[in-house]
Amino acid sequence: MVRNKNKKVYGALLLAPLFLWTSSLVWAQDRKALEKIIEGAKSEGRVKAGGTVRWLEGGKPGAKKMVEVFQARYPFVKVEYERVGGFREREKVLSEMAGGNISYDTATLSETQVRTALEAKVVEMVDWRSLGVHPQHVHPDGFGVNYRSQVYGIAYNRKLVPDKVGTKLTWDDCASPKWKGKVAMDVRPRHMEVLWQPHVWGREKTLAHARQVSANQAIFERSRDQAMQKLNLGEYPVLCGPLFFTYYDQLRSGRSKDIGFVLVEPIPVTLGDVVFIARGSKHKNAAKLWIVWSLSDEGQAVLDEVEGSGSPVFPGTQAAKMIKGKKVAFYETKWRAKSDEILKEIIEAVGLPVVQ
Amino acid sequence: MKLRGKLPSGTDLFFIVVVAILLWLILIPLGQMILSSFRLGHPAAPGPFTLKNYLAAYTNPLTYRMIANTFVFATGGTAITVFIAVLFAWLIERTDMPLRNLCWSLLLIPLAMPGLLFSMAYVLLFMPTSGVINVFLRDVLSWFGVELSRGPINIYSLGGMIFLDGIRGVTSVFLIIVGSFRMMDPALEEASWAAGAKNWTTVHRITLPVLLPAVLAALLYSFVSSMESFEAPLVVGLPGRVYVYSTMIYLSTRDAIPNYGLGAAFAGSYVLMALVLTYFYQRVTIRQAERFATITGKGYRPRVIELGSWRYPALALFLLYFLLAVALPLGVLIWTSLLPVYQPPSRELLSQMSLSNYRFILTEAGVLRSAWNSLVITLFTATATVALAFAISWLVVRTRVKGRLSLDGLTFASHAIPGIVVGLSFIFLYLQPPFRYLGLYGTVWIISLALITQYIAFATRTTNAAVMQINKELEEAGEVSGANRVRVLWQLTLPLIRPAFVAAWIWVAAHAVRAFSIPLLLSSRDSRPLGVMLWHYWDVEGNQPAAAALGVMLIVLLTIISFSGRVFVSTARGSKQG
Repeated sequence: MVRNKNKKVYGALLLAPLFLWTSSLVWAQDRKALEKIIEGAKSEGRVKAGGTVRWLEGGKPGAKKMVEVFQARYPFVKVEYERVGGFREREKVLSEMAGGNISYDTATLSETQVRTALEAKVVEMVDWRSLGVHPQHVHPDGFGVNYRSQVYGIAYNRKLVPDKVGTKLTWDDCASPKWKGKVAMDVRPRHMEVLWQPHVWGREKTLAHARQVSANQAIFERSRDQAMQKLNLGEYPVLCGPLFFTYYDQLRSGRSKDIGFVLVEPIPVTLGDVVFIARGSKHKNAAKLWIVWSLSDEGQAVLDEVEGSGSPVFPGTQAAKMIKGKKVAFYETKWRAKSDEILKEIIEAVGLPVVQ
Repeated sequence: MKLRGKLPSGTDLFFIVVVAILLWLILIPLGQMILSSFRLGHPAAPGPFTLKNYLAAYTNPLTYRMIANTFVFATGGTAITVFIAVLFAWLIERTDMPLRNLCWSLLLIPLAMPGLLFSMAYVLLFMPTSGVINVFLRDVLSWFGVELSRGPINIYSLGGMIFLDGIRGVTSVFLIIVGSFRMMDPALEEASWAAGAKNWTTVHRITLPVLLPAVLAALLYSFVSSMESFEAPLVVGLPGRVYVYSTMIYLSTRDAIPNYGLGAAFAGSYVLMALVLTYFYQRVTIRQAERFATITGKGYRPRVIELGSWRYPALALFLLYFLLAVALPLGVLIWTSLLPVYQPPSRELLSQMSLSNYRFILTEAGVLRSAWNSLVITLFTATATVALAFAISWLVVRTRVKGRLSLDGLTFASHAIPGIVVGLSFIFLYLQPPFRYLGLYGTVWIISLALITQYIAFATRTTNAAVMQINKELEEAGEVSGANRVRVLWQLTLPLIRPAFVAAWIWVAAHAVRAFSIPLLLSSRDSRPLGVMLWHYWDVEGNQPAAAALGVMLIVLLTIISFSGRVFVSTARGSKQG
């Protein structure tokens, strides 16, 4: 027993330098690649970024703070930031780029728009791993990165649903006759996409749930922010599948004293929204630097502070703390690649129009 | 086409250029859209040809529910609109209702409130739980022991959509029919009274049947407008899951999982129905024009009907309409614009009221950019539309070039293409080669071109009539005096039709500045006009107070423009007559 233990120690001692050596090589390579884009960014001097974070979040600096911290670190790059929020805005940006109008050096896509973006050849392929981006954040199609967390839960109006009931809400309640006509949901119920995965609920259970949601006369909202505001006004008592960061925005602004938010197991978690560099961008290096920074410890800490959407891959973020020790359903890469097909099935099952 | 030897004449060349412009604006986008309805995928990366879009569109029970909704919506909206408009036209033009002139002017104010804003305001008034009126009604009901937690009125319903559409369309229909009420021959009515018939019998048996063609034309106009209506179905229909054609097309391109081909498949049958209705509308209006041509020639004024004890109830009815169409929506928008977050009125909220939303709007770079875009779009669209309309009218009315009647038919047919379909067809055209290389997609110019397509039919009706009124001998005299055609056109014809030109320009400008469906589909971040900015605050940002503040400022601006336009046209007409 002791001899075996010694063997492990010796082995570890032998392997440690090897690990350090290879790590230092990788780090040096990353560093070199990063230095190269820093040099490029210096000569470009500016970047036009379209992101999902508002300039002010809940009345306090949002993207404004991100830009300030970034520019403090890289003063030679001027960031011109605009919000491209929601998939309808992204669809517009995607069409504009396809029409030859490159408004942004870097912008954001929803997962369901990835295929179109690749087919329309409007995105630049980048080796993000060589720039030190965490592999879990690199999109499987290789052109972009997922830069934030999306943690789904259930929100409720505390005036209409007491905390003792609200904190015990489950996904089944979203389809329960008990709440008939009183549950709201986004027109893209993406939390169900995560639950759809075979290792979570599977297709049949998810679609049956979606059909029950439809039969239960769920109210479908087209804007997550509006849904949260209507919940606050008491238009409906329960909102199924809002993102934590939508709730966080209300919380931060001080508007949500009447809203409760509960994480329901299995907790659907995705690394969402794909940030990419536009083909034809004139400030590619500055755009890469902005993206790499947003996925650094510093960038994620700022993102977590202003929007509450730091990635759980980074220890210390709210998402990492919230899901610790809980049963989590991560949206796996292989299923995410089929998200448009999965979402189509779900949307049809909840009774909204879609083509097959 | 008449040819001089082998070379076409200047008129022929001009005709070819105008036809090419119309093909580019109307038929090519429509053709591209029909072609794309047989393909899957994004317009920028179309997939193979398939019938899947049509199968999906027309084998889905939801589609037939949507078609039924569209008809119920259009019928209900039209019934309300025409009933109110006819009633007010009669009250204002034929009766002794008090304050009739003031009522006439007040009826123009709803034109200054964009449809989108009107629907947004009604959401704030009638949200099931927190809407101002619902809160008030629940309080009233509670005095009678009826306790409700929601409602009693749900604006997110087909009924809500019909109500909004019905109220909203009154001014336009009133303007269409009011002239007929004013100019009708009183001989038959007087004969009826002489025979001892009472007022109501005379109205029922004589007045309304005589005005039936005008009312029928107004009915068809209103029905087509309701079929094309987009704002109320978008703002109150979608949350209530009540779909109509316009919102289904929008949904298929901008919501959930976009499928542009599906939108194009819906658009096909939509345009077909609108074409049929437009055809009937044209026939009815021609018949009406013939019928009233003999009536309007005489210079008389019909007898004023005395309402007796009904004078003040009639005025109260008008004021109720004004309350619903203007005062309540404007009031709730002003209230919301003064708050940090929308909440139903209460005394406690008075301390939270401020002008901060107005400050925000006036200093926001995006709003200023939108205002500039609106200005560019309005000026360019109005000028280009009227110039093109004049060119078409001149070719149709003044020349004998072969194909001129087809040109007129093509122009009028464009009236049948709903705005949302025009927008969709432009997406297909300008995201695919060769038009993609023009780089127009996402600019203010593509929005203007689409708006020209939508308004050209109306503009040519106005300019056709104006060109017809000018005696051809005047132009011939000019030519005999040695001036060439261009000089005659520039120095003789154009000054004579200036009032009509200005009236058409103002009509197009007033509509372009309020246009919503086309800019919503075609604008980019850099090119969005104020209407889309309003929707951006409401829908994307979820910032209702900012949307309300922008809306209030827009209403004030449009009211000033509308009344200035009216004064300008009156002055121009006066100076011409003088």
